[in-house]
This record gives sequence, C-alpha cells and structure tokens, in this order.
Amino acid sequence: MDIDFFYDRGKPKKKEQSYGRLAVQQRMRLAMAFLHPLRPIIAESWLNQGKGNRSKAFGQALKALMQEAMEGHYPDQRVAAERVRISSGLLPAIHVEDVVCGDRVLEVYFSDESTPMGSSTDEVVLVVYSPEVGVAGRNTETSFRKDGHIRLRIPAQLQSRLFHAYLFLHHTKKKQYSKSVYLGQLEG
Amino acid sequence: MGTLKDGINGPFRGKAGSVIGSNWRKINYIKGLPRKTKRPASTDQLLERRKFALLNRFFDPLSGLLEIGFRQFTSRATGKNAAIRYNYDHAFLIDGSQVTLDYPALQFSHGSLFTAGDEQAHVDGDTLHITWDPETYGMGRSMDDVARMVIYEEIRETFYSGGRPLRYEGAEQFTNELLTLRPLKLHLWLFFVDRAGKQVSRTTYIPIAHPES
Repeated sequence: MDIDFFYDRGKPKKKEQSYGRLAVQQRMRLAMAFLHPLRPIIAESWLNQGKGNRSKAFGQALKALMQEAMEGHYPDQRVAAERVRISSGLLPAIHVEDVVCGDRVLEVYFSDESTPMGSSTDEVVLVVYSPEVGVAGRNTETSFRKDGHIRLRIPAQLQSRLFHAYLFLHHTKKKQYSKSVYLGQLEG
Repeated sequence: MGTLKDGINGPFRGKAGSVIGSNWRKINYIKGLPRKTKRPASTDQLLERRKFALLNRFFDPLSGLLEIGFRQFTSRATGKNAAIRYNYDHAFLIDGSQVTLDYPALQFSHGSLFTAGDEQAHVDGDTLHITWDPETYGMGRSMDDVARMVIYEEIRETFYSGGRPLRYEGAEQFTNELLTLRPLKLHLWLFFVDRAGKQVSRTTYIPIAHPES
C-alpha cells in the first residue's frame, strides 16, 4: 500500500487560515508594533480606561487603535498615525496655533479657552515618535496649559527622519487626561 | 530503561524501546533513536549546516552576554539558542556556496529599552574612543542604564568587551595593543541593560573610523 496516500511529507500539516483570521492577525501585529514603544506613556495616559491597571490600559489603547486607526485591506493594511490616540480622557484639549521644527528642537505654540473642566496648571506633554525606528521621546521640562508654548529636544535617532508628533494634557496629579492631538508628520 | 515519572501518561526519562525520554529546562522530550544515512547531503543541506556552524562558533564565546541580551527568551532556551534563532534569517551574506557573517546585521540583544543614538567610534593610537547620546528624552531610557559593548577583531578572530559605563556618561575608551596592529578589521556593537538587568535595548552596530585598515 502506498503510505503517501495517508501521509505526504511535502504537504503542509497546517490548514490554510481564513482571510478574516489573517487580516485580524495582521491588524493585531501592526497595532502592537506601533504602540509597544509608547508603552511607558500609554500605561499612564490610558490608566483611567484601564481601571487603574497598566496592562489593561495598554489593552484599551490597542483596542481603540484597531477599531479607529487601521486602514486598507489585508494584506495592505496600515496604521493611520493621525487617528491614533496615545492618550484618552475628558480633560479639554488646547488649540494648536503653530508647530516649529528646527535643528533637533520641536516647538509648539498653543492657546486655550478657559473652561471649568480645565485648569491653568494642567501639564502639557509633547511626544515625538517614529514607528519605523522604534524610538520615541517626550518633553523633559514641564510646561503648563497657561504657558502657551512647549519645547522638546528631538532624540538623535530621529534626526533627518520623518516622525509623528502628538500632544496631550493631564491634571497635575495625573488623574485626568485629555485626548491626544496629532500635530502631523515632521522631519527632524 | 524508561521510567514513568507521573503515572502512566506522565513524562519519562531514559530509553523505552525505540524512543528516549529526556527533560531539559522543565521541558519533557521524547526522541527517536538516531538513524544513520549513507545518502550524501544536498547542496542546500550543506549550506544550512555551514550557516549554522558559522553562527554557532561566532556566538560561542559570548554565551554569558547573550544570556543578558536575550534574557526575556531564556525560560525554555539558552541565550545562545535565542540569539541563533533571532539572527539566523538575516545574519549571513551568501555568495554561491560561500557564507560569511553580515556583521552589521548581528544582534546580541532584543528588548524595549531605547538605543542611545548618535553612536560613534574612532581609533586613536592604541585607544578606541566610543561615544553616544547620553540624554534620556523622557521615556524608554534611564540615566543609569548600563552600556554593554562587544568588540571583535575579524582577522585575528578575537573578542574583547569594553567596560560597563552608564548611559549618562556618554563615552567609553578601550585601550589595547591590538589597536596598533595592521591590518585591523574591527567591529563594534553596543546595547543597554537597565539597572535591574531585566530590560535591554536592541543592539547598535557602530562603524569604526580608524586611520588605516
């Protein structure tokens, strides 16, 4: 009896996966790859959505990215960085007036309408990130809502490269966060 | 003779008929007896064997460092195992049947810590000067991350390890008589480990500018 009839070594043992499953797997992979380097920020900025648990916070951010910021069809899906929320919450955001990218320095000028929800001492966070390089940086000097200006030194790895910039605010005690604002794709 | 450890369905160690049971890193293995074959290896098989031997021999003296660099993968494998698996697909330059290592593509670590950026190195006399960006940019890096570096002289097939400076120091010097010898073909890799030794960065290959090769 020809045993190959029952067992063919050349035949892949794994069944071909369905289109839907492959598409979801790719979405998950892309979302993870995009968000992973931002973990230190997301663990804090999504903490309320994660009910105080850092790992749940990351899960919520991942879920939001997969639902809102993926475009294209398998196998050409990609992350739309402009729709990614690296922070989420009810704190009122600010109005960005100008973004100036100089020699390894990024400056953002903004204005604010006073609302009962927002405080002038809310801290502003500016983040630059290149998913291709896998490197991110944030402002190291504290800036407040009332300052109208924030400055960040761009990491060396992002020099002469394209990167995304995001901005968000949080309460001084980090209990409330705003939704992040996408500032665009810039070159360092 | 094989002995059953956890009852009739449990793992066993030793030989039972034509199979051998064993245990390594809490993994229970069951292996068939080796079979000898007289059929000569195909060209592809020989190429794979050469690749495996080359990478295995190169990583041999670095097993301690690889345990640190691939620590997150070492629960069920050694650091060297993980390094070979990680590098195998992109670490070679293949020209017909000739296989060489693609040194700039080699990785001695993998993790979520950020690399330093702006890494540079040059030889001056018997000293190798290495510099990197010491800033932390607010996330993914700490001032007290420890820099681990691997220096390899390709012609003499010799490894050297530099000191263990901290990230904020931004520079390190390595002095050795070897650096005065010519010809000299140096390769340098740098990665960072956090203070707790739990997180590592990816490895950066630093091209070395030296007066003459």
